[in-house]
Amino acid sequence: MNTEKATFIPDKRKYLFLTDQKGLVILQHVIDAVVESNLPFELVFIGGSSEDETPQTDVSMWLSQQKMGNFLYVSLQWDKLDSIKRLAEDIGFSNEEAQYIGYGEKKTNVFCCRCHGITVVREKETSEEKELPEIRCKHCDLLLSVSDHYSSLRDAYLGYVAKL
Amino acid sequence: MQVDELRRFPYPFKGDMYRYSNNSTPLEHACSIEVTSGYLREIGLKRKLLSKYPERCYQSRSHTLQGQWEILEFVSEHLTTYHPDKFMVRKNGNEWTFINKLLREEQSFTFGDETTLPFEPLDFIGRHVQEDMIFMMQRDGDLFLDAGQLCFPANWSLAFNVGMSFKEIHQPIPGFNEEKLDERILKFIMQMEAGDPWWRKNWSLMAGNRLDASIETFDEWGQDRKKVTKENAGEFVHLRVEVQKLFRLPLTNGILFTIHTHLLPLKKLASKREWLEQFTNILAELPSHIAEYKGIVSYRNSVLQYLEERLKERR
Repeated sequence: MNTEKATFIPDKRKYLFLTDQKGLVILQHVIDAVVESNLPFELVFIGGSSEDETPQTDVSMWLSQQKMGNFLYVSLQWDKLDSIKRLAEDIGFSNEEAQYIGYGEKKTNVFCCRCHGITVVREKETSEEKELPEIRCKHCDLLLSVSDHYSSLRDAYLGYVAKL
Repeated sequence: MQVDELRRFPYPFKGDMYRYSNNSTPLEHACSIEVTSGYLREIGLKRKLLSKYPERCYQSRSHTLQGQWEILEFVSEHLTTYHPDKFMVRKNGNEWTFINKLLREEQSFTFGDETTLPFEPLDFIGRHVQEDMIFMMQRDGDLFLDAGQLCFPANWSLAFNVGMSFKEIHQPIPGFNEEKLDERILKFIMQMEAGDPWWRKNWSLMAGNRLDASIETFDEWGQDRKKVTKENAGEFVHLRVEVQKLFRLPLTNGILFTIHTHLLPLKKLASKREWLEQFTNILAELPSHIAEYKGIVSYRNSVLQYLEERLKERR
């Protein structure tokens, strides 16, 4: 599941951490808890620019080889997190077997109620109020009020007519 | 509207107040469809919308085809059983010919082979009935909107909601989740068995008389809400009632949800004293969060003034 903060889930067979340098800081308290409890874990780096980057094909293979009962933590920039989440779900990780923690600038897709076009809105991580402004559909120019109604299939929030 | 049509109108209220609830009751006349005097007009409108806005009016996920064939068979059976003078199916093994006598149309196809139909099975049979049709598939202890033909929605988007779980679909309804109504209704539907259909009536008010109150065109028809006055409410504002029927499909274990939308101008509603009194009380008492969700807030007072004046005339 997408969460704001990683939480240690006890009693798992093995713990899997998939992250980059900044994500490692976000996951550190969970890794510490796993190490302190002397539990088995694996850690894979991805998405950085350094040489220790793991290509997505290898990540796919790594995830595919995992057994039932393993628990996955992923912490990456929002734009990279989505593709890894889709990959993990396709491989068979359910929402109850994984936590996904994004950081950085988050992009939110808004589905236009009139033309069905998607407008991408950038949402700053630092924004305390998660409220999105009214936006203009980039496809049909309708002023949209962004709702909290979310479609995972569209990966978008519904934008309603803002003004009649 | 004739007196007979007024008599047939699915007036939805019991008691003098309205709250969201699971108001489903067993459907005694186990027919998924109803053919009314508006058949030709409504089918014409449906097909026009489907042709002009296919994405808006029809959605299906690739794993629904078996269920769609089951729906085609299920609905055809109802059409030919309850309206044998209007519909007929000739079968020779899997070679079927569907005959619609009202439209003077015949379509031959091989049952189970969608390449022999001009549209997907749900889209095909939906073009012969006045109802909107939603197919929900059950898996992982939940229901998912996996296919639907929707031409006359009450301000929601099939294109956006396709693929959603039951609770995700109902998330925008205020209080629905907080009062755990979504959970209770989901459990109720999941326990439904084949052969025991249920039905309910849902209502709202409509400024104007459009059946196609899609969210995609809200910027057009929503403007009509500003035009309501106590002088024009009788003819302009309509009570919009959806007759919703739920069937468990025995083969795929999915749920077929049919929606037949009816409109009645308030002037006609007011012609029945019992309805006039009851609806006036309900509208006056309606909590603001329900009025807001149903889109009534901006013209509720004008409608109430109209209804109260009709009540005074009757005293």
